[in-house]
Amino acid sequence: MNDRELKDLLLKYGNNTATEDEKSLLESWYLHHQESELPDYTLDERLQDAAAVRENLKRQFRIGRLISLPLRISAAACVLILLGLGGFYLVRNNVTKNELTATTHHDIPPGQNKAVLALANGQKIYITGIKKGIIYRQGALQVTRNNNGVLAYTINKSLIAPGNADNQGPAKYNTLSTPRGGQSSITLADGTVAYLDAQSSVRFPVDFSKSKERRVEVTGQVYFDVRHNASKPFRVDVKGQTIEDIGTVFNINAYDDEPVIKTTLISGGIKITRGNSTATLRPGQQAITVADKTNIRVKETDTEEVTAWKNGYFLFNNEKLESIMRKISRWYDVDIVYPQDQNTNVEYWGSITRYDNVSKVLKMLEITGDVKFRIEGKKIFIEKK
Amino acid sequence: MTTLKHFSDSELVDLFKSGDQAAYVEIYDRYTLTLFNHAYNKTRNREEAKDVVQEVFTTLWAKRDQINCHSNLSGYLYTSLRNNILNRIARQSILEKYTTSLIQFIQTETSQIITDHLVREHELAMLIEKEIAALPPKMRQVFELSRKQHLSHKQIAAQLDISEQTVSKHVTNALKTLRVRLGFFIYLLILFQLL
Repeated sequence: MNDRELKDLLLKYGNNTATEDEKSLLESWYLHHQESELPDYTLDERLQDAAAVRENLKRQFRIGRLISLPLRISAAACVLILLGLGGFYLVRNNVTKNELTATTHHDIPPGQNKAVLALANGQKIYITGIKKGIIYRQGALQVTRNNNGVLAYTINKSLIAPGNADNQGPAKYNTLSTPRGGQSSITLADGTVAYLDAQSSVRFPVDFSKSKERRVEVTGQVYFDVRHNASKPFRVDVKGQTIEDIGTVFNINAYDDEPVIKTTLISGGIKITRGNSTATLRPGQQAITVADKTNIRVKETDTEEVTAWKNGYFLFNNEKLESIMRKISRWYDVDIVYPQDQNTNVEYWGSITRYDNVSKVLKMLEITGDVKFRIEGKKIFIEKK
Repeated sequence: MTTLKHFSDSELVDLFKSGDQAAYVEIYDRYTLTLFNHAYNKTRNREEAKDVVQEVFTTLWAKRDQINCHSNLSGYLYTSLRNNILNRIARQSILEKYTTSLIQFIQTETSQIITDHLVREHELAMLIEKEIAALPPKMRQVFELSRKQHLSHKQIAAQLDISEQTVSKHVTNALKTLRVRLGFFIYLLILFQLL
């Protein structure tokens, strides 16, 4: 058998036109064939690859945009109810009958791509919209947006005048921050991508060449997809703790108005250090820490719930109203006014896109019966029924 | 949300075939590392391994109406992976890697040909298990965790020392209670033909 015949044989297999004997031959060879000397394929690399394919599949089949959850049993035995058209799914523990009563004199549009890039020299660049390509240029500095909407900050070295102070001295830092009602994402000098939710920031060195590590600071909620580099660890400082990457995708939730800091590992491995405590996470685990305290609590969590924001939707999973309203407040840039005697025991379950006006989200929350919403200007009033 | 871990492969397949996206993702999570391990062993290339694994699951989704793997999900996934890898070998750039081995097999090892396709599938499953057993312990632990974490109703019953029927009854009762309490909303669902 020569190469030509071999190729024909394989093509027939591919077309499903091979005979039984031919199939037997190829499939038996397949079982028999062994590769010797495989280059190392580490656990982290495997987890990374598995996570990448998972994301591709979810995107391809639009999984997670509208979650269709059939009847499912949990310890509290909650049921997911499909309500109405447009695919809104909402559930609640203490369900009673009622009607839709949301009054919306005005409506509030969802957040959008909005951020401020503060340079080391104090200059601020306001970045809005979705235009691709070069969106800002000054001298050697260039801010571009790629096809996926991710920003990149680059310095065109050839345009720097010799002797220019910018290139000497200690590392210069920039800060990308998002306001309420904003979101953004940026590729750092090493290829790591940071996704920012509303009211968040990441402070990063312009390039990582001046240091033995890659160190950034974060506030609010940021999702990192870190480019693996074993010789230069990636470290994130946030609210008194340091997260060290071992080749990794993880989400940090560290808002000032949230009671705890949540660091969730999606894939790879991270180590968290807080004072004297350290914890190493496996994918699917979340570290919970509190300001002023050094202990780190690690638990399993639903990473889809944690990363829903980055994928463009809200996912409430047994969540209290206040927590939900804080998220709405940041994304829609509104203030919430609670009634005097607020019942805080109600929990909500559901999922809805975050790219619709706020009235849609509020309508769904109202259906369950306990609360009524009134939008006035940039305030949302919560009222009892 | 994580209770799908308690579902057996067959239950997951049934759910998935009825359109349940979460069941599809659970199937992925359960088998991805195993498939990646085997794909890498055969292709020696991370990018190719990613491509074939993605192709296997893309086909799984696209052909969910036609697939009949209720009783042997792993077998289906393994053979799908094998067929994908074999199909790729036909490409010139990749064929070169395997030509010598293939020709040698045809010329000297024809005694190794297995004519029964069911036996070949069984051998494939054994091979994949052996590959996992050959992994360093820590890595193997992670594999086992993602694969075997699910406990069927049978296993829950064994662990809690109650009958399997009790477990199933407990599950259906919980459902019944909720239906009664929900009343109006169930009516809505039936109205929209969603239940």
